[in-house]
Amino acid sequence: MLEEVVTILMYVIAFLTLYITIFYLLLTIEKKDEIKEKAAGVYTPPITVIIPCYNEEGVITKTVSVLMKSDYPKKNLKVFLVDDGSTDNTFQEMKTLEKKYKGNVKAFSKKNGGKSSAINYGIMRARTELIATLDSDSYVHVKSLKKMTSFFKDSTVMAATSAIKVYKPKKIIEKVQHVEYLLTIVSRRLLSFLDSVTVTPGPLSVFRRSVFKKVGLFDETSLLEDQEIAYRIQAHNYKIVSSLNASVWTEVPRTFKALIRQRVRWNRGGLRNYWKYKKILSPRYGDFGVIIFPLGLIGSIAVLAVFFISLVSLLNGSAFQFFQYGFKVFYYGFNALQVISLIIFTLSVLWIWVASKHLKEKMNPISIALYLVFYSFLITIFWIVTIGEELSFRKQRW
Amino acid sequence: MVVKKVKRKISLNIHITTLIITLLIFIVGVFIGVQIASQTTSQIQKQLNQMEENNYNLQLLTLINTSSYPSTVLCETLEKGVESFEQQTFNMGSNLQFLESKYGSNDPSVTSLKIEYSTLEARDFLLLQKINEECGNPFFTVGYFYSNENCSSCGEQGDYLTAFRRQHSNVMVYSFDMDLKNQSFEIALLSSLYNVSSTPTIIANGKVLTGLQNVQQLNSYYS
Repeated sequence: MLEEVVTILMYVIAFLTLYITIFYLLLTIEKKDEIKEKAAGVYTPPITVIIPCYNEEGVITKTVSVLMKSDYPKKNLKVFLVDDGSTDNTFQEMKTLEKKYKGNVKAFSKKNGGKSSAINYGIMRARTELIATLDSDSYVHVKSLKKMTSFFKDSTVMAATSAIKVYKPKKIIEKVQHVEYLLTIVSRRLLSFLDSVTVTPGPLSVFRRSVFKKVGLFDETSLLEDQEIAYRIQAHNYKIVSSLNASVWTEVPRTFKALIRQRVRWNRGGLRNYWKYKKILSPRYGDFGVIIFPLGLIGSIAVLAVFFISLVSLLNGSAFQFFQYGFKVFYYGFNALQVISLIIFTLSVLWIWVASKHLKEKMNPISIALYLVFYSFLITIFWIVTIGEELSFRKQRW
Repeated sequence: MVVKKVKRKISLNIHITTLIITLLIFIVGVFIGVQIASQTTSQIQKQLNQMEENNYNLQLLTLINTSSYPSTVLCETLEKGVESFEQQTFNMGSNLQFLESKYGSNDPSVTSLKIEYSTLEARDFLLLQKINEECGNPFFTVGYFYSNENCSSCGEQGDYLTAFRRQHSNVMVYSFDMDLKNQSFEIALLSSLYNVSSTPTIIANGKVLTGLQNVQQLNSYYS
């Protein structure tokens, strides 16, 4: 009985995975001309870039210097550095930057209250039409701000996301994330055509200030504030667009432990956000409600289901069949599920190939192979740690 | 300022196209998978047929009158034949065990292959008794009656027999699935011939041993 249930579950997961892979592939082919951004004309209204900081001594100077090289008209550019009660010399460094870029950069200091509270502090003091949020360890391309603000010529656009890339990937763990980030740029661009962008990422996103009046400020209790605000904007049916070319480079975890910590925070925050916005799971929200929003949750459940099935097969010994039966496991053991898995794998590789055509940056084939082979294992590990932490009620900070 | 909201819609066209393509690929995938699986069974069936032919050839050899033919030459040929046949039987047993774990013991094609295999083993077992008689007991024969359903110590017994077989090159082990007793004439015949009523039961060179026998006990009957 259990065997049959597991088999049916595996086929359901295989069918859904195949569906999503083909859906993305067709969407990429259908929108192949729209993916490339056409210049919508220059639009450079006053903008405030808010950079929340917590113990960023030695990092913030570089971030601000790179930002100030931007081709955005300086008379319309304000930079708010908000120190969230750092215990190092971050605020002194900010003051130096304030002096250096007088008239553009302003330093604020507040009591520690978390990343969202620092962003909100800045939003409440900003008077410009547009507001950007920039992580303190992210470096903006000279043309990116202009590219992103041009979206706001369309009065219906409430937020725009950037093309986040990994800053100088050297180690294998960074190179694998590099592939992941590049593919996310294309998939997020595709999602914007379905009005289904699920996150306005911390590294760089631009908002129309009025959206905060309509939906409220960043949630200071959320573990994943950049996703929470995006869900809230979507829940109010406002438009979020996504850029393919407005690059921003960000520092990513360089160790396996740091990567786990980051992804577990994303997972835990994500779960809370799902629960908070469960009303989106409805045809009233179109493609977002019926496919993109549930996809994240179904995907996570599928990852865990595959993990537990593998664990069971490991415990009952069938995973060790190779040692007992040798190569006949492969040539006698090939069944329908493996054929479908092979098709899904081939289509995924095809999608990566099609998606990479839209990117200016080249991806190393070895990194792609590593990404394809190891990423599912990594995602499983992230989810197991997430469950462990959820069950032990461990608190998490930004 | 009134801000225009997004008009939500479900992209039906792309969903319908996706669903059709997914269904098509899924069906083709399942079809290919089933084809591969059936090819596997037909390939094993071919191997079984080949083994049946080998077994038949050995049977023919035993019919030769030893008085008109030098018995040492005949016995050498028979012994070589039995040894290579035993290796094939062992591989086939492992193949079927794998198929059983893959498709389940209730799969009809697996059951049919198993019956055919058990029949062949039973014939080989009987043939070996005859060769032992003719050629001065060159082999130590073990008939092992087991059950997958009603026998908690059969797994352990299987491991002991594998270890025992490894220790002695002339030990020939033949396993008989008692769950197939009603479907295989040969298994029914052998079990009634040796009065086998429970599992595990071992026929060690003609001696009936009921219950679990460890390697030490098996060795005591070997000498």
